[in-house]
Amino acid sequence: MPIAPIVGKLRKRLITDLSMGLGLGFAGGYLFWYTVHKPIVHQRDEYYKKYDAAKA
Amino acid sequence: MSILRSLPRTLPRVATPAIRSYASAASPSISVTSTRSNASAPALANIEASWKSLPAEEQFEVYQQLEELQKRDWKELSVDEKKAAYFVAFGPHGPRAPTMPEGNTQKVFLYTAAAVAAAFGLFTFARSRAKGPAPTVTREYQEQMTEYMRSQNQNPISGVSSEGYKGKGMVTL
Amino acid sequence: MLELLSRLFSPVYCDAPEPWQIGFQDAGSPIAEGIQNLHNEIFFYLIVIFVGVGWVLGSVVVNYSQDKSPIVYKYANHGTLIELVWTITPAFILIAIAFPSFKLLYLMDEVISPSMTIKVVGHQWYWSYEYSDFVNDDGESIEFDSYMLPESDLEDGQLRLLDVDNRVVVPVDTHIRFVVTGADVLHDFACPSLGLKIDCCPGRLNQTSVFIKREGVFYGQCSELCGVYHGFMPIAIEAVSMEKYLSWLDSQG
Repeated sequence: MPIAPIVGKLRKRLITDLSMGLGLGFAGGYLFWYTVHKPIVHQRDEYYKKYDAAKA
Repeated sequence: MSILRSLPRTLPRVATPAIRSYASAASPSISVTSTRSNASAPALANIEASWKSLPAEEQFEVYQQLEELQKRDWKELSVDEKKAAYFVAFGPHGPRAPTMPEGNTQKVFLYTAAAVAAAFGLFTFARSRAKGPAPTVTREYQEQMTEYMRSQNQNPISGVSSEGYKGKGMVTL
Repeated sequence: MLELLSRLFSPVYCDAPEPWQIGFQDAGSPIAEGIQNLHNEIFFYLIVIFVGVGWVLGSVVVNYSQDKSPIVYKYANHGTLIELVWTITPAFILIAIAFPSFKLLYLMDEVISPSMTIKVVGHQWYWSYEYSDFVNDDGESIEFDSYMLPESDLEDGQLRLLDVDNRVVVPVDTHIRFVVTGADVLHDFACPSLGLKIDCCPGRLNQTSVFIKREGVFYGQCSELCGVYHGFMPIAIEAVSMEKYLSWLDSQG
């Protein structure tokens, strides 16, 4: 019996890869932002708060 | 409905006539055995080894011979002839000759290692003639440097002068 | 022999602010903080691009290798949709990066009326500073040269290649303008923890402004090749409280 035409394999792979790539990329980016950048800024702000309090 | 059911039986024959259902095809009188009647059989016996030694005209002769042979039923060819045909068409000679001769990987590795060793030797020689380390490169001096930086409140947010600093400061030795 | 070996394997003797440091020094001015924030913002997009491209590359390597590539035709000359995608996406990423970048750039350019001006002149191979806002009774302004401390003159604990004999003393929490120039060849007045880097070109006055948020000593080095001792003309800016600054001014006479 005839089988269905095999089309769209490349397109499916493209959509999968682009979504996974960009998705994981943004996930990694946000991970960096919240686990590295925010603590650095927080530490800096805390230091200056203490510094200003000590000066006053 | 009946047509559909009969199709599977006929389809393989239509799709691969040369290989699969030969026995049931139009000429059942040809027997499927190999033949050794060919006079050139000895010459083709070890064509892989002797190819290089043959001059160009002889190589061409062998090629033409094999072309003639292959016009017939392939199942009639002897094993030697089949091997020769494959070698002439797909063997590692002419355009398919390997770009790197055998045993080249080891040579590349050895020469590279020798070059690295020579560079290292040159480096050793050059460094041996250098001044020694500065007087600041001692553990004691580095600890004093850490104290000095602390007294100047350097890097107070996340460095030597910060609260609860657990790193080694300027000490590397 | 052992010493030779140790010299071979640790041939770099750095007195850098914190050995093996690869990150920023702690910021001492709002510009330095802005630079560090911008760096992290761009790093976010860097991770997006790195992971994205790495994933696609890995997928191609794994799924489209010689033996199991499902692509049968050899010559694909164009695919308009995918080409549009991979042109528009980087454009969007670049625009997203441009927003914080331009914001910082224009913030840095803003003219905040400074409270004092310090003139910096780069020579081969030392710096000279002039505080012309403060003149003594004879009408002379404060001027001095700043040389790197030679190794033989180092006292215990001082930073080799960074400490100088006369530091640039400035008060905290004041807007300071640095007007820089070069006397002979190009130099560069740089101090990373204050976010300062400005070329000193002979025959030209460049200006930059600094606002130092905390007391301390901030080191920097000449950042434009200027001859044999280009690496040996450091900058040390000491930020002190206003009282100490005024008493320093008095002592300079």
